Amino acid sequence: MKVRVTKTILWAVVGAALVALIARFTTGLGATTNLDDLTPWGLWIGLKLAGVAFAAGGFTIAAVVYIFRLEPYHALARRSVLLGFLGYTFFVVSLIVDLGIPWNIWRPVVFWNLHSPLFEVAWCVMLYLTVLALEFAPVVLEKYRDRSKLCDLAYRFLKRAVIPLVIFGIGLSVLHQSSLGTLFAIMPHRLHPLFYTPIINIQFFVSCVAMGLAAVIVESYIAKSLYGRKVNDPQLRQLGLVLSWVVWLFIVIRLVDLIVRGDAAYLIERSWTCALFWLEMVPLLLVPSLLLQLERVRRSRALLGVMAFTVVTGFVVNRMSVAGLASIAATGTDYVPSGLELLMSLGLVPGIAVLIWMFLVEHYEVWQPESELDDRDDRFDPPVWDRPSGVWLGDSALAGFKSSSLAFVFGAALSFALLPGDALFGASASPAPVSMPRGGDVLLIDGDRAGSRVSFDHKRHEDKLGHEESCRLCHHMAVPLDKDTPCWCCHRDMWSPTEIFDHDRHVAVIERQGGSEPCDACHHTGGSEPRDRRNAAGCSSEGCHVGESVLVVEGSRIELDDPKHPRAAVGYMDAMHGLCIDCHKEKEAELGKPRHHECATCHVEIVSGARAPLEARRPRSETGGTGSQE
Amino acid sequence: MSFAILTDTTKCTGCERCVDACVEQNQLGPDIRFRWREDDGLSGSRYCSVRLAPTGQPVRLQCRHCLEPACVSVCPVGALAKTDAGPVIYDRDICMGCRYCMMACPYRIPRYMWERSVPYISKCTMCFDAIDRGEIEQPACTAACPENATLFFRSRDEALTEARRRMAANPGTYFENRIWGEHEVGGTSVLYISDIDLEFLAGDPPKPLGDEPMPRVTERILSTVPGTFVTVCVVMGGTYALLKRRDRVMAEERDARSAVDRTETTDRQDGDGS
Repeated sequence: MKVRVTKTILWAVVGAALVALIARFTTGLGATTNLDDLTPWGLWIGLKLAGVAFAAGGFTIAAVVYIFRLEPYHALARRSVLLGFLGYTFFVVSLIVDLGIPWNIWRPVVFWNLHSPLFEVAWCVMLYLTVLALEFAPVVLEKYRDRSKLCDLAYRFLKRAVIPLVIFGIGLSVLHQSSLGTLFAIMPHRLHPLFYTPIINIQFFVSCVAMGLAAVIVESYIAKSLYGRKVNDPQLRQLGLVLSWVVWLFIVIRLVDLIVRGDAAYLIERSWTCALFWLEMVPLLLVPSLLLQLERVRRSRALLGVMAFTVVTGFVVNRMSVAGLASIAATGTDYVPSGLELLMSLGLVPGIAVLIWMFLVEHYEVWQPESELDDRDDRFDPPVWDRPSGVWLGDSALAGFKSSSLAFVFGAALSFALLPGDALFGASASPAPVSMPRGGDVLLIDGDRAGSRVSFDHKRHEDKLGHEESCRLCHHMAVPLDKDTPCWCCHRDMWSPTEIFDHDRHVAVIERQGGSEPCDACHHTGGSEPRDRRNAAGCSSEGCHVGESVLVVEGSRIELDDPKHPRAAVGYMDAMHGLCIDCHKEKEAELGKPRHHECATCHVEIVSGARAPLEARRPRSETGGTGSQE
Repeated sequence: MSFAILTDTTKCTGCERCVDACVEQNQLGPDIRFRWREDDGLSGSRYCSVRLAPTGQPVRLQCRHCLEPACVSVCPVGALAKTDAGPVIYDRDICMGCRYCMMACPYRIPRYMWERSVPYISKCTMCFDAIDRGEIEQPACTAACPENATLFFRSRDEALTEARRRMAANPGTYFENRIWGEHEVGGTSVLYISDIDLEFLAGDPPKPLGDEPMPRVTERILSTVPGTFVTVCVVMGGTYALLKRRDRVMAEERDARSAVDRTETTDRQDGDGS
């Protein structure tokens, strides 16, 4: 019954997660997760790190049984190899979900970068997963030995190859379990000093051994409560003791490292990262490891299980901290995993992984004869499959099958119904709040950020440009920093000569007057050169505005017909500078003031409280570098 | 011979023509205000930006093209590469999207195209491809700067010389007479001189970056990998062989003893029988 309820719940979660996974692959990471540029690694990386450490039992127990030849632990070998196999499989599966371009996951095989810790992890995981598969394969093969000669051959070969496989696997595990820590050794700028250390790889390795041992204990008790399997109590008790020593080793390494690096002062820092450190170290690691030293605690199944579970939690917190929680203070991120992220994680790891685990333990001899049924509470009720007829036997199997499918469909439907819009239609831009200008109708703005401001009548501009509709004309929400349009974008004549000649209107007038070739009326090109300003007739030429007055003050220094810009009015700045600077230049010599024409003569202090006058900052206008000067 | 860009923030007016030029050169799309868009202006569709310092001064932001880049060091597939000419370039055809480069960059430059279902990293490449093909002489941004606030040099030493020249010519103008990028994280190809403290560019809250190149730590650890592997395998193999021998010897002794016992018993039985 317990088994069936568990399966039903898991199938519902898997169904729900499947919808989320489809959404993730169709609309992308941005729409379905809360990851962002500041936090490119989130919940998934933390879970992956924890999952690999959880699977470390695969190599520690293999070492105990095959290398150190401690025969009593043989009963734990298969189950811990299965834990390892599932742990690593789901590391790869969740990596596929996490990677931006998952179909390129094979790339490290071909494209090498020996400097990258992740490259090393990729290779080790790839090889170790193969090793685990080969280590676990005999469990599956032995069931078909009698019927298939090939299976028998493979079985016997793998049985013989087990020692080299185990040694190879241990070597790979030592490498990648520590390299997962090395991943973070390059990020002192992200991690809090309590968590960052150049020897993080050693810490990761020690903690993975502890977590692997704790995971084997936890798995044993879960198997007992689900299937009523007998627990190898004396061995688990001994593992508990070893576990506490390894946890102590971890704690000592960590504290000594902090003291040696001189970061011990952070231990009494008043921050929540520090609280996280203490939470992990004291209640989750130190307390259970102290209690595990007591014979009485280890003798109690419930207490041993709880202690092992606490240690697992402690190291999960450790991995989560390294992967993200401990970098919140340094990056100031506001990342919280999205519901879909959580759902996908749940669907993969407790979901599909546990279902596969249940399938394998029900159908194959994962638990070896030593751990036969505990007759006190026999709840192991596997579905019965009558092979010759191909029929499921017994009510429980069929009912279980039905309820699981129902739960799956229901979970998927519920998840689909509750899917956020972004996950369905792709990421959308976030709305930007708009407020009225601060500081009243007239603003003092410093457009070129030179320290001098001009008064800008916001109200008048708004009225002139069309009230509410006008905002977007100047305020560009999509431009970096939400910049406003600078003055010169509209008032171009402040800075550049303005075209006062309306070309289109002239063309229309000439056409109306019956000119067959309106262009040639003004542009005397001779037919070859392109028509432009240089070959255009002047305004006062024959047949045009002869004798008409032009709006230039008599005796002005501004020349309308300057060769560079014919037919154009000078810009505002040119007018001012032409009137002032040229005159100042002329008078300089007379007055004996050699810098009389320079900017600071006029541009002294403009607004009180602004920066120093231009004169003091004059060196800025020195010539630029040699690189790109024209 | 290594390309360099020198940015003099005292001359920057924040006109963002460098950004426009970059968008045009690299054919970047509109900069949509997504959830994940940072305030500093860089995003999946912006390689460079102009951000405001806490003092309100505009400061141009772009990839530093470190001399020993962390991103290149960590990329498991080598999609990022430091060219001989200096720029750090990105090959999207190799990338598998692990985003390790984004985590490792001390300046948090690489950005991700989160909105796409096939996302890539987005990062300034100093217009290396176009320069390499000979289409342009210098990056679009430096070419576009009307104030000569950001300058391109064909050699990093030249850029440093120019920075020092400016400092010598204008004593007291520049903050601590410091060239940002000369030594930090082993030196960068994009250098800054400024009249304000540019520490804020390395993250918020600011964190001083040492002069040691970031990849040194990981590469030091990784250099021990082959040795560790061999040692572990040899120790494990040796232990196995040793313990197996011990078991065999013990078994033989036990057999011998039991054989002796049996002989004695047989002898006694024989004796009894006789």
